[in-house]
This record gives sequence, structure tokens and C-alpha cells, in this order.
Amino acid sequence: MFCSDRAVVGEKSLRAAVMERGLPELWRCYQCRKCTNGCPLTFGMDWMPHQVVRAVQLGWEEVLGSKTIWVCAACQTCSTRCPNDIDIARLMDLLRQESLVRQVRPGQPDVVGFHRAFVGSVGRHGRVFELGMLARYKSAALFRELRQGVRLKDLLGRLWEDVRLGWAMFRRGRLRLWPARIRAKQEIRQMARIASVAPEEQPSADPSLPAAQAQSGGRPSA
Amino acid sequence: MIQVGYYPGCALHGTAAEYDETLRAVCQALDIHLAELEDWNCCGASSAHCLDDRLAVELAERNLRLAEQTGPELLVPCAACFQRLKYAQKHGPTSRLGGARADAGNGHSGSATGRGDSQAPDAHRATEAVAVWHVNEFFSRPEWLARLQERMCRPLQGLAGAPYYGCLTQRQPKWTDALQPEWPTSMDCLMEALGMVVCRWSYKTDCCGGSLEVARPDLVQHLCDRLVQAAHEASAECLVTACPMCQANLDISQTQAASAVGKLPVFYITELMALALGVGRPERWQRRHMIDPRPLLEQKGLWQA
Repeated sequence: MFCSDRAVVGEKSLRAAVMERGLPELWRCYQCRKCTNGCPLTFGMDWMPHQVVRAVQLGWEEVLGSKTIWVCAACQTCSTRCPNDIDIARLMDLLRQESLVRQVRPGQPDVVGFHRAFVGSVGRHGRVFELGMLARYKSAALFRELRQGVRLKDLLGRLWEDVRLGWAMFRRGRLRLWPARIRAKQEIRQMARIASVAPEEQPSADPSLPAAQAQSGGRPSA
Repeated sequence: MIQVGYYPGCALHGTAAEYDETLRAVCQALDIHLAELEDWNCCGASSAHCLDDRLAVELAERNLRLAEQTGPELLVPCAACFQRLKYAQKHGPTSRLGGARADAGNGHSGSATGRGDSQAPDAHRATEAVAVWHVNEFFSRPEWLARLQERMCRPLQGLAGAPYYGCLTQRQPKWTDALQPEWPTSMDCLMEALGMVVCRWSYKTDCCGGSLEVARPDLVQHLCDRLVQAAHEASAECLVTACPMCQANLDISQTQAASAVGKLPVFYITELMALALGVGRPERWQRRHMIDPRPLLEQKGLWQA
């Protein structure tokens, strides 16, 4: 460590967590901003990618609540172009995971909701079932916005737009109405029982599994 | 007749069924037997790796193990699946590159899950042996280009298209083994072989926004508007993709755009291949598009109602 971490009692510092998970090259950054200049999504970000790298070097945990880590589309342009071979896109993954483990209030709750709904759907069916996944995602987003005081009228207007698009897709045969069935569903379900998927989105454990096996499959929550 | 393993991925059984249909038709015409993996599962796409490193590798790896049974080559049409499978080959628990990293990657999730460790190490080594191909690279090899031209009955003369590769067929090159990640040419070669006019533009590998379409459609709209605008400037009459997410984003975003410039149909490369080979059922895939491609194809004399 080059300087002392911000004191976090009883919890690993952000920098230590990232270093431990295999990004030692992070220290090579000399702030050339190639990542930021090539990033297609900077217009939607609050922290620029090169600032995120610096923030992690300095142990600034605020970055975990940023929009940036969720607006990043994982297009891998930054990692491909970095002259110091720093895997910035992977750093974004680590920060996303770290923010969920620490239960930081996400800068983009909708994006988090989408990823959880997606992984939840994979765990439930073994393959993604788009219609079911979107329904769960949309209803969760709707309730979240209602709680935040968004007017019902606006929400219904947006919902109507979604329904129209959904209908247009359905009419063209681009939405299937039933989930696929795969035989290895239980195996996938065990894989997808991860700490970062909220309990209500977790695919339920199969009662037919022996308790020990079910336990070993689930991961300890943070 | 040669046999090639086939991993369609979730999208090709749903939102991108036309990609699946036309790819199958093309393969049949070229005497390729597609052996779909038995009981395949989702690769984790762009969500699993955001939430959990281990999950992202495990989901993809199971499919790689299945692929051993179908032969040495695996054809993966979806760019996201392709990238995840290539990633898993290089970051699996016992792979040369990623073993330590993948395990260290879950300090918080706990590594003693008992899975993965129970599988024979041979199974993991074998997953690296399967050659994972994306559609673009698979068909742009000289032998297949030659076979394609041999069987072609309707060259797509005069149709000007902008080849759009997107992110995940190329990046990161150390995962995908892409030789020219900033300037790929495989799809250009394919389009040229089909007789198309290939538009040169510098947005070949720019991001369309991917899965942000659901949670932040405004961001995707902005990115796609820029791509469509650039394609117009390159005098393209259509966009050509090889990724279900790119196709959907570009296609849907144009229905929302209030732009004055004309709307560009967004084709899958396999749709154009099927058209040139005179196989498949054009009326089936054409109606799935949000931007109707029929007027353009009719104008070029490539299709009649």
C-alpha cells in the first residue's frame, strides 16, 4: 500500500478489496484519459472512467454509489485501449459487485434491477425468459418509482409505451410466451443462487434436494 | 457434409428467431450439419458478470463441456454468447490464464461452494480444446467464401450496406482472439463475396448500448442515433449486424427516432446470405423487422411481393 487506507473498522477497504481480487495493474495508471476519451457512454456518467481508477487508488468509497459503474455497458473499449493494460471494464465489474455486497445505495437502481431480474430468470428457467423477466423488472421499477413519489399518470403513460412496444414485438413473432424447459434446471438454479441477487428475486430452493447440498450451493450473504 | 456444434443462445430462440432460421437455412445450403448442444443453458450474457464472477464463468463453462460431445468446432451466432464462451475458456477454474484470478475473484461470495471442484480437471482442460467460432469469422474463411460464391444464385448487386460488428465480437481481443479489434474485416469480406457494396465507416465497433436498452433506453437511443446517422453519411442503405442485441437496438431505436433522414433496415448477415443463396423463407424473417426491409429489397430487385 502506498498510503494508509481510509479507516474502515471491521471492513476491508475498497482498495484492498480490489487489489485482492486481482487488479494489481491498477497502480500503473498515469491518467492519460484514453479510457475516458474512448468511452461511448461518458455523456451519461457522473464520474469519468479515469476518475474512477484514481478514486479506487485513493480508496474513495463514494465511487461505489456512482452512476458510472452501472451506466458502463461493458463494451470493453477502455480495457482494449489502455496503454498500461489496466482492465478498467473489469474494475467496473468489481465495483458493481462490491457495491452490492456492501449494500451501497445504487446510483442506477433500474440497471441493478435489470441485472438481477436477468440472473433471476436464468436461475428460474436455465435460459432467459424475456417476457417474464421484463414483467418482473417493470413491476419492481414501477413500485420503486411510486415510492419515490413519481406521479401515477406519468408512470402509466410510460407503461403504455412499453405495452405498445411489447405488442409490436409480439405481433412480429419476437416475444415467446412460454419459458424454455431445460433438464438441468436444478444445476443452473444452484449456480444462480448468488449473494448479490435479492432474496425475493432468488430462484427458490428445490425441496427435493438434500439439505447439505442445497446449503453448499447457496453462497453466504455478505 | 460436415458437423459443427451449435450454441444458439437464448435470443435466437426468442427475439432473434430470424437469425436462427436463416443461419440454419444457410448451413443446410452449404452442407453443414448444425448439431445443437444438448440441453444448453444461458451463457450469463451481459448481466451475470456484473453481479458475480464465478457465476459468469460457470454458466458459460457448462456449455463448453456440452460442446465437447458435438465435435471440435462450435458455432456461436450471438456476439454476447461468443464473448462469454471465449472468456470462460480463458478464465475457467483450471485454465492456464485465469485459475487463480477466477478464484480470487470471489473473496466475498465464498469459494467453498463445492461445485467446480468436484468435476474432473480433464473436463476443464477439454473446454479449452473446442474452437469457438462467431458466424462472421466462421464463414469468412477462404474455403467457405469460395463455397458460398459457388452456390450463390442471386448476388446482392447494388445493395450498399454498412457492416456493424459491435463490441462483443471483438473485445477484449485477448479473450476473443480478434486480430484487428479496431478494424475488423470479416463481415466486409462476406458482404463483398455476396456482391454487396461495402460502405467504409469508422463506427464498425462502436457500442450500441447493449442491455442498457431495458433500464436506460435514453442512453441507447443516443448511441444508436449516432450510428444510424454515421451510416447515412457513409451512403449506406442498410446496416448489417451479427448480434441479436445490436440488431434489436438499432431496429427499435429507429422506430422511436424523429429523425428527418430515412430509416435504414437492419439485417443479420445470415439473412443476406440466405437471400443470395436463394434459401430460407424471406417472407418469414422480413416481417419480424421493425423497420420493414421489403421496400429496399424490392427497389433493388432482390425480392418481389
